[in-house]
Amino acid sequence: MSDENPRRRPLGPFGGALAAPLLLWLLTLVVLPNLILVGYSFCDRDDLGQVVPSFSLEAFARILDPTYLHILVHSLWLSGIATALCLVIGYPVGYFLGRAKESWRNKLLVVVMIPFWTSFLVRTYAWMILLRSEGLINGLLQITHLTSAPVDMLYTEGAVLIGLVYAYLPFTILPIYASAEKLDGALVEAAYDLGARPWRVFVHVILPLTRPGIVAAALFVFIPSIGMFAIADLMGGGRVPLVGNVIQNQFGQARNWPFGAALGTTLLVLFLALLAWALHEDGEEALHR
Amino acid sequence: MEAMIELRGVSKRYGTVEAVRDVSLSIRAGEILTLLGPSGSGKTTLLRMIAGFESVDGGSVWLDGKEVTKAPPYERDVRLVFQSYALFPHLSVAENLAFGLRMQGVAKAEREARVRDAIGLVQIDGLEKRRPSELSGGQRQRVALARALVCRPKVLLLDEPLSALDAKLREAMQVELKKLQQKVGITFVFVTHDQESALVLSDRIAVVNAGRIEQEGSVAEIYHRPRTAFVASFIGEANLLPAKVLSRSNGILRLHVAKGMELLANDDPSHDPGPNATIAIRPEKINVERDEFEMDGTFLATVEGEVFRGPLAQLTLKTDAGLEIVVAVATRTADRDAPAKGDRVRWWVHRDDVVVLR
Repeated sequence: MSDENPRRRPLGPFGGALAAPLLLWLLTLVVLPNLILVGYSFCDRDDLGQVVPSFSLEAFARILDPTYLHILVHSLWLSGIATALCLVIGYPVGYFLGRAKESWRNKLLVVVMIPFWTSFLVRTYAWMILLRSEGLINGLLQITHLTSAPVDMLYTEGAVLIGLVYAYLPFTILPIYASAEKLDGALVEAAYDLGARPWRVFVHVILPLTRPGIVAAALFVFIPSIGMFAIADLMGGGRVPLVGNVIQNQFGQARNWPFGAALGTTLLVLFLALLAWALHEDGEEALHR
Repeated sequence: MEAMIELRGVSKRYGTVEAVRDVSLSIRAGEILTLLGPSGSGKTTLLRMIAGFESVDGGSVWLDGKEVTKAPPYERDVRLVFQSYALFPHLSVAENLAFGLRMQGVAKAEREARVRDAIGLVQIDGLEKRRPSELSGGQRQRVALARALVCRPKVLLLDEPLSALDAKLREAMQVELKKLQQKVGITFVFVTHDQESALVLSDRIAVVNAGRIEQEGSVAEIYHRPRTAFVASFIGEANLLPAKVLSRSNGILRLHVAKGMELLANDDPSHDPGPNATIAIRPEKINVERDEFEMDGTFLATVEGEVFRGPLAQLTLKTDAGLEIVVAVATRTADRDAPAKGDRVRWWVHRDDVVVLR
């Protein structure tokens, strides 16, 4: 609001050249592979699983098979719930961090980052040790006689959900932190001053003004968790197949690359649509900031 | 007159810093009171105490006869116009104005009517649908004012509302704000470090310094009868001179200021200045004429400097007794003579214009 024109800033002596390495990286390692993937999705495969160049929609047709359609919808659903849980848990944390005293902020951010110091797989195995039948939680439950027999926790949908939320929570906290930090405290005070009680200040001022952070956080959880297969494998024990598992399987044992590519392309299109929507909405908002 | 706001012995400390020390202040219904002071004096803290954003460590805050010391901001019938205006960037002008009414649960029809009135009041017609980012500084300020006034609060608090405007616009807004206040009849409490705005806008001024109120009074009192050196020099300009009290009789003080220079001053019976006093004389209260002969009650000096200030010129005099004195005289023009640099002059001051400080 204070900047004369926040949308245009001088690029500096090297201009756009500074972005060249990144662009090259993105082109060769992201855009190109994705194009190849899209290409494969229209191909056929022979009996031995070799990809045969052609133009066929067979792989896409197979997605509509109820078995796979169900897995796809279920993955979207599970990722949606994981996203919602991450936002509900991550928002207060991110907001608190963003509004904390400046001297505290960096220290607290380090605390949020601590899980990344340990390998993702190790952390997931740790959860398995906690949740399994002879694990820590069940042990405690039985010692304290809260339950007489082990409760099935590992290899359930709940376990997969815990795994997803646990893995992506820091990615929710960070963008919300960023937008909470930018929030002008005077606006919150102005809302109080105009007679808004705390809850209404939150709904009418804080929430809309931290929306860019919420949208970013939601995308950061939703998109990767749909493709995630390791968590479903380890914590779901393969009993809760997600679309990521199916894709992995098609490129592995099933040796049906076109089908795997078609599933991948479907997700890609979905993500691009989501992203386009989010950017459009935020763009509209940004014009008024 | 009845007190709309009363601060009773309020204090506030931040760590080891005492931002406000035992301040008592009574603000009358329907007046414009300015808290005037340099930055860091505690004036904004006082304002925020009234708004409810700053808790008090001691003392109490009263609004319209009710204690509100512990009440949160949303339960106080006062509205604050923020220095940064704090307009909601995600809402249009009309939505910004309606915000307070919505929070108060005012019905839609009445809300719309009141928003329309407020828009007319501050003359921002046609901007209803704009976002704050699409407004100029002056327009934002009007929207901020309207957003507060539309709630019809008992008190409107204004935190340096003119500081972001350029000089010309500021002058216009000063006059407009005063008119607006007379129209709506709401008590205005205005915080500023700009003594000129304070003089133009206020009915009364409370001069704040180092967490205390140095002096409180009408604009004329503050200007003509400053009680401390701080007030005398912060508002307008003043010659501050140390003086020895020679005698005190019949309501008149005889003061020795320098060798061969004695001045008279009116004696305030309620205040004993003691043997040593400081006096303040406003530059424009000193009479000067070009002459080389001393008469009774006048002193000779040489003009050492001259600064042109439009209608007035500021002259620096070096008196024969060795004092430096600043005087303001009407500027010299083709058909009017006035002392110039290097001239010998005679100056004198009426005892009504010699203020003995405490």
